[in-house]
Amino acid sequence: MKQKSRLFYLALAVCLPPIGIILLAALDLIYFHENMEMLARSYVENFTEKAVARLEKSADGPIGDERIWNESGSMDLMPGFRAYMGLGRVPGMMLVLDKDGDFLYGSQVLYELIKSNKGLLPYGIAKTMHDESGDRFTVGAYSAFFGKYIVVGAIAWRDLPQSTSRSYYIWPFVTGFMGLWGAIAIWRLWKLVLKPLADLEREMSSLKWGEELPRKNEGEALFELRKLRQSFTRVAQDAINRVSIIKTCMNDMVSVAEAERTKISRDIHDGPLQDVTALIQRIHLAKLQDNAPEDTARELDLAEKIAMVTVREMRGLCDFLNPPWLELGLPQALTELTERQSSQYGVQIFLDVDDDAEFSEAITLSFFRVVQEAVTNSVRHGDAKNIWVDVKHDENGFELVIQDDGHGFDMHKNGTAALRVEGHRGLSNMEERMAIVGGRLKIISYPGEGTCIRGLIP
Amino acid sequence: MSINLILADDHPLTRAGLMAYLAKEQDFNVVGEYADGESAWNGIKELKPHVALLDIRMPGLDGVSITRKIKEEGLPVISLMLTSYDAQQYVLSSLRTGARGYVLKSSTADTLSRAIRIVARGGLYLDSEVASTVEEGENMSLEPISAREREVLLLAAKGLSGKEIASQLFISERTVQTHLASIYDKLGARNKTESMLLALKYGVVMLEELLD
Repeated sequence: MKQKSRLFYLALAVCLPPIGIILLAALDLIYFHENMEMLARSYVENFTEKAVARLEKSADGPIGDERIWNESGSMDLMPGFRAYMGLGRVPGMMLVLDKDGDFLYGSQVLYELIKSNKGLLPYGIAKTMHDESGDRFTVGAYSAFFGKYIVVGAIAWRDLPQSTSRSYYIWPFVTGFMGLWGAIAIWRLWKLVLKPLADLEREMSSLKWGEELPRKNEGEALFELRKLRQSFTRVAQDAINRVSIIKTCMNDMVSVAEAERTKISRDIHDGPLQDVTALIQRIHLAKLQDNAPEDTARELDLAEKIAMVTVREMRGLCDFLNPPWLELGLPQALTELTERQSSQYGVQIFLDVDDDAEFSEAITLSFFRVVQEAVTNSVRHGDAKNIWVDVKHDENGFELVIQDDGHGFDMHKNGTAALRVEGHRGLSNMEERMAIVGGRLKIISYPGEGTCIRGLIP
Repeated sequence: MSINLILADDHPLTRAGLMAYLAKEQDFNVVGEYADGESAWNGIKELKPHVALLDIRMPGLDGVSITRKIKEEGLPVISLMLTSYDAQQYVLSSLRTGARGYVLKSSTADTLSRAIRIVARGGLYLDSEVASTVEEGENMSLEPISAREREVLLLAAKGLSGKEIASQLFISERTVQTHLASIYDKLGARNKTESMLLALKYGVVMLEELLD
């Protein structure tokens, strides 16, 4: 979790400079624009005021203003003012209008500009206007001869003495563009690398190895990440294969062991057991001889007893290896088993099997072998006196619990792996038995507190 | 009247022993001796002995299968099972297919002779080792088994599960279990098979009722 948020903050940190650059570029643009406006305004104001002053001054001269304006209508201005109006030397446009705003003299371009801006005349403070092609102008208007005429001055921004402005204007855009570029690059980085990486990490850490495969490549991701995902998929597939191989191996091992037990049991039954049975028959026949001395009869009785014990032992061995009661179902089989173990080991075994449950052959065999092993372990290693065996079937599945009152052992010191290394296969055998029927085995034991073995088949 | 017998046992030593047992009896006439099920079956068809002594486990045809064939063909041959030890479920299945009893191969010559004579007369012989809890030669007074319990026991002996018995008798499975527990208790049996064998032994049920 902490790692994940760090990735997020890292991405944010990388994002910050481009965002800063974009903001600075915007501020720069606004600031520069304001500057330009101010400059243009003061320029226009200054130069229009000068024009008005010149006009009024010339009217004080030998040529009266009435004569100038009235006779010629417009053209007969004093040469100085006309020169000024021509604006040959300085940038800008001049226009003289009568008090109704009609054109008298000056720049036609400016007159058109004003008309296209609804005849608006910015008195006193120059304003920015746009012509039809979008060019920017700053226009200022002043009244002359006490309101008889209006003198309008204007400057196109492109003609400003700071005409470097245009190239300067590019800079905020350039920086802005760079910022934007950076942001897009980071967004792509997030989309192609960071997010797929985060997704992959989340998926891998929650993947059930040996059971699940990662999802197929979906959405955009960098080639390397796609390859990485593919590699993980291969590893996950390997894990699944390995689990299935282990399961197959375990299955094979157990079924080979079972087959082997069946074979040994059969061999004992068909070989030595028959031989000893024949021996008993011969002893019986010998005992039927009337003329045998007393000593011989006694010896024959003894021989018969020994042979009978041998037969019984071999039957026990056959039953242990290949319990014939398994065919009778789990409750019967466990009853037979625990009764035999109880009398064999001299312990009390309390068996409680859920009679209503139907147990498959595989489960019957697994539970049977687990109980067989567990009881033997309890007696041999735990020195238990009482053992409780419970088999239940409910909505959680089949459950087998074997509890004893023996010594118990230290689970952590003697894990099943460690025990296996030491040659004690009992617990692992039980685990395998449960695993091949899709179940789990849980062993809870503490020194001095007995052992509880719980097998669950969902 | 002498009794004609055939003996089938795949193990040569025990077969020889059993032959020696049978040779002791004057009225026993062993007409055939076989080491496998197939030839035993052929011998039975051809010789039609009174009693066939059949090893319950043999290569090829085993004793249980031969007994079933005898019943199917309606041959007038009584089969008596020989077994190395009392694998009860084999015994019960052989009885269900029509065997008249079983004897342990390790029993004495007298026991074998007695068993043969009993089945030849039409009786049923179950070796006393049928249940370890039953004491030899005892004549215990058996607590009477109710008609319902008898019914349950018979169905159980035919191999029906608790559920099937319950649905057939229109009672709950729980009740079936209760009946069975009561039967075990009365017969002194530990399980279904044993209770069935003991019930046969005590005459609570007849062998005919068991037949498939």
